[in-house]
Amino acid sequence: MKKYLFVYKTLLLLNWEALVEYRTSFFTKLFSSMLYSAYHVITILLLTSTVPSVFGWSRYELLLLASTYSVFIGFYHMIISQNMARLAEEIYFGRLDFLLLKPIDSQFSATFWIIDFISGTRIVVGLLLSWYFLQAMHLGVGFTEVVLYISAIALGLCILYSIWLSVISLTIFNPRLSNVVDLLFHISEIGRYPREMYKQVSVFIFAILIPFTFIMIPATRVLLHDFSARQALEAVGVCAVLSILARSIWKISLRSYTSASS
Amino acid sequence: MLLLLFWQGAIREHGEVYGVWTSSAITSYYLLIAIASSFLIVHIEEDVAFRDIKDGALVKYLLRPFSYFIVKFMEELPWRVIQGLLAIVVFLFFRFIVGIPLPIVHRPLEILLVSGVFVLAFAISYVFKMVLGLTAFWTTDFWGTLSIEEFLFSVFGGIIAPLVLYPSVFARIAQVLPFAYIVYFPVVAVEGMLSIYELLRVLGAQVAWLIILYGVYLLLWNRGIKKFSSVGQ
Repeated sequence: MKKYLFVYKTLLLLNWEALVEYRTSFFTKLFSSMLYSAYHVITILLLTSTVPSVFGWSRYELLLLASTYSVFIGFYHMIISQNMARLAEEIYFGRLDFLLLKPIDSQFSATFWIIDFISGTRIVVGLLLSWYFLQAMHLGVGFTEVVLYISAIALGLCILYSIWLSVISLTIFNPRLSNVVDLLFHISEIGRYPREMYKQVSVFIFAILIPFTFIMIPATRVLLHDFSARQALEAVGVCAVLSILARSIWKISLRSYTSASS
Repeated sequence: MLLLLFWQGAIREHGEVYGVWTSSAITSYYLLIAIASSFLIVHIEEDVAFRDIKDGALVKYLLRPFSYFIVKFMEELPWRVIQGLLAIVVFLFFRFIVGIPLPIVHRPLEILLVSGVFVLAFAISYVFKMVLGLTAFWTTDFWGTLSIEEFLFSVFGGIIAPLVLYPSVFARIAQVLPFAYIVYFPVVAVEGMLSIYELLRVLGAQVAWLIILYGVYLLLWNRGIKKFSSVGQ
């Protein structure tokens, strides 16, 4: 564990240096990240500008969901998504060997190597907006809610990470599917909207979408003081099952990996 | 798709608020937005920024006796023509096989004006993306600029919702910026939602934006080319 903490600390430093390499680029990225932090909230603002509620969610509840999504996706882009995109590329070009030969766990080196600090902006802006919407709804947040909120975000990250890892691991069998990452980016946006919205689609598609609705809703429910033990157990259960599944798929897929030269 | 699902629910619950924007009208709108985007939105900016400026491929264009602006246009045009043909196939499929009502203008004068709106929309899209690409002379890494443009286009280009359903402040800003003139106005124009007077106003705004953007292009090109350097044998 100590070794991994040391490796991660080194990665944090290296990624920071890479980020500040080009000054103009750094500022345009920072600005665009700030805009995107507000993007989901602006979308809901525009969509609900003429109606007080949709799908049983009030306008402010939907805005809180959108701002929580900014926090969540900020964490996800900061520590996970870019690694997944890189992993798909490494598999496609047959360069996964470089990751597998490192004297650390292959899943760690494949999925935690890049840290995108710029996405931290989304977390900060998302938290500020969430706080604002909570004030507007006269909802207080105590220590318990903070702990539950962090746990719910962590569970959501674990669920989304597991889904992405499972899907990208499967590209080892068919590297030409590496553009599945683009699809995953879009599908991950499902969490931005209430689960009730997806009940309009067919049962088959709704069943596929259910895990994605677990990534965001619990954290928002915590802030709305509408989070039950049953919902917590559901989220933990989904997270545990998907994590084990993702690890197994990764291990099994690696057995079939052949580099470009083999 | 997500936006469409959202609107379907919202219209079902509060249909009276949206007036002419019924469930089928909003479905048609998003479908036409998707179709129009495929051939009106030019994707030359990454090519200009990454391949030509960052990787130095611009050198070969500078040595040719043709304008860079024209050559890049000729490189992009076939892609848009192919996408346009595919878009027509998609349109016909949804209109006649799936049966989604996709209303389009049919009077000769409207057809003529709408055709003009489409041609100018494509021209604005091309010049705007060229301008965007040229900013790579100063930024080196282009991703930040690209993200900003995507954000502005989504919010003010009518991608999230028809501009008439926006709060008035947002709608007014969107009508001033060039983004809505690339996809939104061509779509509502082809749907027959604009009067002759409004069509002429849109055409005027498009011409104005085209002149402004081309001026900006010339300015950036003349200044940027002095900063450009490339190495090789």
